Formats: sequence, C-alpha cells, structure tokens
Amino acid sequence: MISIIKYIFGALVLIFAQVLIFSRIEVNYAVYLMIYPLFLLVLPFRMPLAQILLLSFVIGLAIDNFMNTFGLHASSLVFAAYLRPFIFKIIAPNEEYVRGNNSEKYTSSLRFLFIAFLLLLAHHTWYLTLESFDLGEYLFLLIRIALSTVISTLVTFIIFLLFLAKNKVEK
Amino acid sequence: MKNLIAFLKQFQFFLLFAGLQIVAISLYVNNYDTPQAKFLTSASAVSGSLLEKSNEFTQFINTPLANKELQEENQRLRSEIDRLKAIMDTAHFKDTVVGENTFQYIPAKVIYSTYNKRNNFITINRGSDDGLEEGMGVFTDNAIVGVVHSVSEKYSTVKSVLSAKIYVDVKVEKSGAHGLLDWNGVSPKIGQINAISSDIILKKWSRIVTRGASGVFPEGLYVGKIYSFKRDDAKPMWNIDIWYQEDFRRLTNVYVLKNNRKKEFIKLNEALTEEENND
Repeated sequence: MISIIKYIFGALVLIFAQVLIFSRIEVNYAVYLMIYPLFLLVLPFRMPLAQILLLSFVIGLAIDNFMNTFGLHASSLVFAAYLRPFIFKIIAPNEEYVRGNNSEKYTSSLRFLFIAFLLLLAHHTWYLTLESFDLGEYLFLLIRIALSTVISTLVTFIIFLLFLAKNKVEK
Repeated sequence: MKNLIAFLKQFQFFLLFAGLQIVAISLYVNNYDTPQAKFLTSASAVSGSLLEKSNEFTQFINTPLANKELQEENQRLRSEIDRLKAIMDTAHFKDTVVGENTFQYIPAKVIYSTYNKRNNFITINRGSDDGLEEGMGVFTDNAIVGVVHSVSEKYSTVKSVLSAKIYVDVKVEKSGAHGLLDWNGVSPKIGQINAISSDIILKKWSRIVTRGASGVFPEGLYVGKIYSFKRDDAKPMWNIDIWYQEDFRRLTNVYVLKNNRKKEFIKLNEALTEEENND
C-alpha cells in the first residue's frame, strides 16, 4: 500500500517536473528534453505489462493535457512501455529480476544508464517522428532524435544518481 | 474457438498496446486541426490554473523587458492619439455617428508557451468569459503570434505561427503578392510562405504583413521580413523564408483580436461559395 502511494506521488512529481521545469529548459532548438519515461524504469520489474501499458497511457495523457499535444506523449510512452520487457531482456537475458523495490535491481549505475538510453531512444524516436510527420525533414529529424536522446539520457541519469541510487546505499 | 482464445491470449499485450496506440494517435489527429476534446488542452481549468500559478513564480524574469516594451508602445499610442485628436478637431464629422469598431482588442497575458516543438501552442489567461472564441487572431505590439485554438471559461490555447499548416494569409506589403504562412519546424525565428507565384519579383528584407482576407486579422499587421527566397523545383512558386520580428521565446503580453463583423463576413463568404456552386 505504501509503495503504491509512493509510486503515485513519484508519478505526479515527474509529470510536474516535466511540464514546469524540463519542457521550459532551452538547450537548443533541436533538443526537446523529456525525462518522464524515467517512470518506466522505476516501476517494479515484475509488474504485469497490461498494468504498465494502462499506467503509461494515463501519465502520457496527463502530460499531453499541459503540453497541447493531444495524445502524442501518451502514444510514445505506451510504445516505450511495450518495449520495456524486451529492453530488460537484451541487457540481462538470463538474470532473474527480483520482485519488489526498484532501486536494488540495477546492479550498477552503468547498467541503468544503458537501459535508460535504449528506452529513451525508442521513446524519442517514436515521439519526434510522429510529431514531425513529414519525412522531407528527415535530416533535421535525425539530428533532433540524436541530440534529444543523448541529453535526456544524461539528465535522467543525473536524476537517478541524485534521488534514486541513494536508496541503494542506505540499504 | 479454443484456438482463437489461445491466440488472443498469446497476443493480449500486443492487442492492448495496439488499442491504446490507436486511441492516442486518433486523438492527436482529430484534435490538431479542430479541438474536440476540451479536457485535453492546457486551457482546461486544472492545468490552466496550475500553469498560471507557476507563471507567477517565473514571470519576474521577464518583467523588466516586458515593462519596457509596454512603455514604448504606450508612448507610440499616445502620440498617435495626439495626432488623431488634431485631425478630429479640424474635421467636421465630429457629430456624425462613428460606427462600431470592426476589431476589438482584448489584452491577455501568456502563462505558458513553447517554441521548440514541431507544433507550438501558447496558453493565455483569457477565455470565453472575456469573449474569446476559437479562430480569433492573436498578436503583440511587434507582430502576429497565432490563432486561438481552443477556449475554456478562463483560459485559451493559441496555435502559434510556429506550427505546421497555420495558413495565415499574408502578403508582401509593397507589391501585394499574397501567400500562406507555414512553418517547417527548424528555427523559431524563421517561417515560410507558400503559394507566391515565381514570376513576381521579390526583394530581400521587404516587409510581410497580414492580408486580412479571412477576417481573422485586419489588413496590414506586421508579420516579418523576407529573409531568403528561391524557386520551387516542382511548381512555378517561390519558396520564401521570412524572419519573424517577434521573439517567441519570451512572450509576455499579447492582444486577442475580436472581429465584430465576423458573422457578416462568414455569411458573405457562404453566399459567395453557394453562388459559385450554383454556376
């Protein structure tokens, strides 16, 4: 029960952080900083996929509501959520992930960085491609995807080190 | 039947995924041009008031500059009033009934805006309570900003000129050649104009103003300057890049244009198209 409240609170914090802070940061015209997929990395490993898909949809719609994107964020977060189990499998094919709290599962920060990169790459590619919807701009689109993914991954990693990895040390 | 259930079970996650995707993408496609689901925009009560609160915290960054711009505008308007007063004093139509103004200006404050996305929206703190409706033009002292996209009681969202297919009708001020405004999503300082025939001679840095043909903007509101132009490979048209005067990264105060004769305008247009159809 406590963990559910914790996750809801965490989701709200992520949504507001995305809308009020990270969407306003100007790095470059080509960069769109999106950190909210971090939510997918924090959820328990063994959570049923159906629940994760529905949750992603709701969180995505919440962000769409602020950003006037009418379902784009929902679509890309659901896409990332669908790929989540596959990405976990690529990283550690034979490993049994433990049930329960999430901070213990990333055996190293480097592994988190790699998983976050793959997940954000999938998410950003889906989002930015759908958003531009015009393959005439493909070069700019590729630059946008590459830059946005790298910078979002770095920021996500910093957030992880600041707020989430600390729990591991305490335990 | 058993096989079907087994099949569905095997692909249940994919089916759920596909279903959610269809819902999300159809929401996006349906709402981009004309808003249908009001709860989905930042003009909705919850997100609107939250954005306004957060804007109160951050607006002090922009205040000095915004104040300076408003002061300059005041100065200009004051001298304009003096000039008009002088004309009015000498003219003899003082007592005649001056008709209702075609355009009415509603000042509004920007509480949230984006500029680095493919399609950008601005949230303002005026809504249907203040007489706003969908499709009204929005501009600042410098240049036009966009068109009202969806309206709630207290807030509205504005589709800015940094959006694909915004299609504001504009013209070159000197020659009168007209086209439609568009944005390719690359730089927030540079927009595009479609549909100006390539036999018209253009000059770099000529002023682009609104044409006023659709009743959204009056004629002659400033848009930007021609930045570069080259011939389209496929059509006998110019591909024109224009330099926006307005800096969309720090919008603070805007005006919404209410066209009091819009109904008349629409009626006329409808009559025209009907006539064309009958021919």
